[in-house]
Amino acid sequence: MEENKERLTPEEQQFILQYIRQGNIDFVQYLPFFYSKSPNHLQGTTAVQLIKNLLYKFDEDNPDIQEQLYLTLDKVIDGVIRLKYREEKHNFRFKSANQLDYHILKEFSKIPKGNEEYYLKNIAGILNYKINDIKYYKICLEGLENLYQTYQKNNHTLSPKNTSSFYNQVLNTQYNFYHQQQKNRAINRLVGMLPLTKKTEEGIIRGIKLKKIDALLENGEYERLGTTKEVLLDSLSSYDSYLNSLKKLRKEQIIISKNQLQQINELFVTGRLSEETLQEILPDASSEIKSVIINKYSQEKAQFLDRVSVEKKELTSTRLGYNYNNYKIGSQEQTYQNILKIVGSLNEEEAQDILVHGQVPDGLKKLLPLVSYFDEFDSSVMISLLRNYPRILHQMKQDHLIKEETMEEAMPKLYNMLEMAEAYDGADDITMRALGQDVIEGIMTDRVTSRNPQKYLETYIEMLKREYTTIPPVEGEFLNYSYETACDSDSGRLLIGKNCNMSCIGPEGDGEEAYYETLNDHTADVLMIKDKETEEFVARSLCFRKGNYIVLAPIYGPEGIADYLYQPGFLSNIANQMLEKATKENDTLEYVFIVAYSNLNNFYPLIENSYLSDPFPHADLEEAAYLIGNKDSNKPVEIDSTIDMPISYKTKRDHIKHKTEITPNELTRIKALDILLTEDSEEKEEKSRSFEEVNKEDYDEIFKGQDWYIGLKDGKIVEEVVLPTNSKEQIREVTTLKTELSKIEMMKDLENSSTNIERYSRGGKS
Amino acid sequence: MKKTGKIVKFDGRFGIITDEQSDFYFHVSDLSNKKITHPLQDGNIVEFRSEDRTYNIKRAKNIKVLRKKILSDEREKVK
Repeated sequence: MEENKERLTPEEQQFILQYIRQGNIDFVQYLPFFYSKSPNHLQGTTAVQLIKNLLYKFDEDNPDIQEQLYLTLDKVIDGVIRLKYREEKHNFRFKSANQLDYHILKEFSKIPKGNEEYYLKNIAGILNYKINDIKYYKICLEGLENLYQTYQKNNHTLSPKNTSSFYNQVLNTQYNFYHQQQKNRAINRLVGMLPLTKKTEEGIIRGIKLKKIDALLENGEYERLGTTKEVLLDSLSSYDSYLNSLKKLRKEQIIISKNQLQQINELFVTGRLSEETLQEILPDASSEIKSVIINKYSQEKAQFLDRVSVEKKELTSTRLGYNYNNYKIGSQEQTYQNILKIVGSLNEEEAQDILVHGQVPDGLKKLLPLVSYFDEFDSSVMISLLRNYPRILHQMKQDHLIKEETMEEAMPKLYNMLEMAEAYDGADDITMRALGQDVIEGIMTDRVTSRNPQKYLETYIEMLKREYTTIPPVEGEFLNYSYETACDSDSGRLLIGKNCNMSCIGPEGDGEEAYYETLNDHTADVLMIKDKETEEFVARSLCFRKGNYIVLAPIYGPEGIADYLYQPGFLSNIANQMLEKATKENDTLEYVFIVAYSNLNNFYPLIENSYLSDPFPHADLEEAAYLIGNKDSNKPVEIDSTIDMPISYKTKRDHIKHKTEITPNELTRIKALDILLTEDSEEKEEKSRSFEEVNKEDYDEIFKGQDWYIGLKDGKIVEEVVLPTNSKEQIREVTTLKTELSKIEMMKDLENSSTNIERYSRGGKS
Repeated sequence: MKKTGKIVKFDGRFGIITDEQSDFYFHVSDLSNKKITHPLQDGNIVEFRSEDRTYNIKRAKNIKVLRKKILSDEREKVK
């Protein structure tokens, strides 16, 4: 969705709300906001039409309507949780049956004879780790024991026939656990923010007032109640006749005597009447009778209810069970606010997309009170539904998800609707191919930073253009991990924020500046740490250079700080590589620091200096950091941010690959990027129209560099795609290749010529 | 993949192109030339790129009008 540069002012928002409440919607078009000359700005008349189309009025105090909203919200919660699970699945250890299979087979292969029980219990523990349920653990253990027997019988293999049922059970339980946890959180959140229903609120207010009246009676503050003790006692002097006439007392043959009445009345007027105090006066009365008596006396307090007040803040601490009797699931005012949010964020084109469908169906309107209760169901999602619902309903019917193309049929499958809306409005194929499916999925995880693929595409293009940094590059292996810096072609770097559990490092996040600096600028970089075997992301540390020092930000993984990587063997290796390269190049680098997030006091000195954080953008840097590398430990530490950084270290370029080494995805990515970087719009459209996945079998040979590829057939170049990154290395690589190819061509021509000359010499025609 | 098809439904904002095998949904922003002087109509023959998305959703992008329906109707009349 295009971003509107102009926004409604707070005053204009209030005016619109007022017009909507009063039913004077036509006046909305006269607000200054709609006089904008910007092309595609929402027109006033369009806004009026849109508000009228969306307007959903309902009796918010009607329990039947609240019940409908409650049931609809339940579907919204379920849909949102399923979407979240799709995005957060990467936080779980096992995301798919394949992954489970790989892990279990690996573990089974390690089991020594005679010690099966220990190893199987260990694996069951891993499966149960996040779920932490003893019943589930036992099911896993039993499943694993059966699987292991099959594994041994089948010569140490397992087929899908053996495993699918158990793996599905593991994955389904994982999902069910996640669902329950998220639902509890959602309900807890709702209970904290939804207003109470009128009836419940009145009941709670009454209860608080009755307690206050009791307190006043207890303190003898009768004048605040507008009465005196004597007047009160006098009014209750014949109450025994009334109480003794009650059916329940007669049934239990309880007769309250005058003396007992006096005692009960005394307790009441001193605010001490309760079941416990009544027990002493009527020891033979049942609990039910005591309740009846107390209730009757409470009714006597009703005359004083207007004498005491209750403030709103006294109600907020009350938390009741989540249901539509206690809480107002949707309110008219919230609906108006949501309509305002939707209208305020649209441009003219987007508004026309909604209006072209005519009147909005009631089923969709019923979602309006519920928008923005959850981030995953905000106004942008609602807009997507409003724009696409006819197609969504049609597609759902075609896919046999619903029988009729109606919202009533579709609502129980809200998750599918939300996914389809995403599919209709999601990133186009070329952008997806340019970034890669993994990156696109990663971008769509949390909402702490931008989910707009365009921003990441622009960042990636700049990454490809960066040729050097002032940070000496490092690479290597440590335990089960591999690590490196300066690998600008690695699109996984785009997810240095998204991969780290709600990190703000990314476009539109608080750490946006650090994001762009480390990926696109020359004085910062990212240390990427991956699993040595699977190349999956493990952790990262942002690195910043200033003058004669480098600071490494905390090492973050998906779960937070990666404590296990704060090891001297690892950190010193990195620092030493940097310092050795710097010394070799006569660079001014002298010190390498890492932010003090783990206790390394026994290994490194802790240095405190404001320059360890001040010059750098927000990246969790602190003024205290461990000195993990020092060019000359005999000299005192003197960091100097003003010293020149004379050496530029080339960032890594992918080595040139031949056809057999290249994957089709790599070629398609370059082709997609080429289209996106084409400046002439007509040429770009034509290229886009013809875009297809590259089939390397169409060529006899292909050569591919980081940002180019050349395809040959019959010895001739038939395709040449060179991205406009203007990289010196790219130009050198392509020129060198073409020179070599033309030499080969010349050699072939020479050979052919020699063959002809021989033929002529051997008695051919002269 | 580049395909040719016919517009079978267009409401001014959204439409469907069919190539006899499949239906492709499109939005007016998917037209290559956003400033076309003649309005898009049912029956226009177009060239486009097809995109497959989840839930069997097929989308047409980078749409170029090859032939207007009016032209083909006139040819029919002449025949």
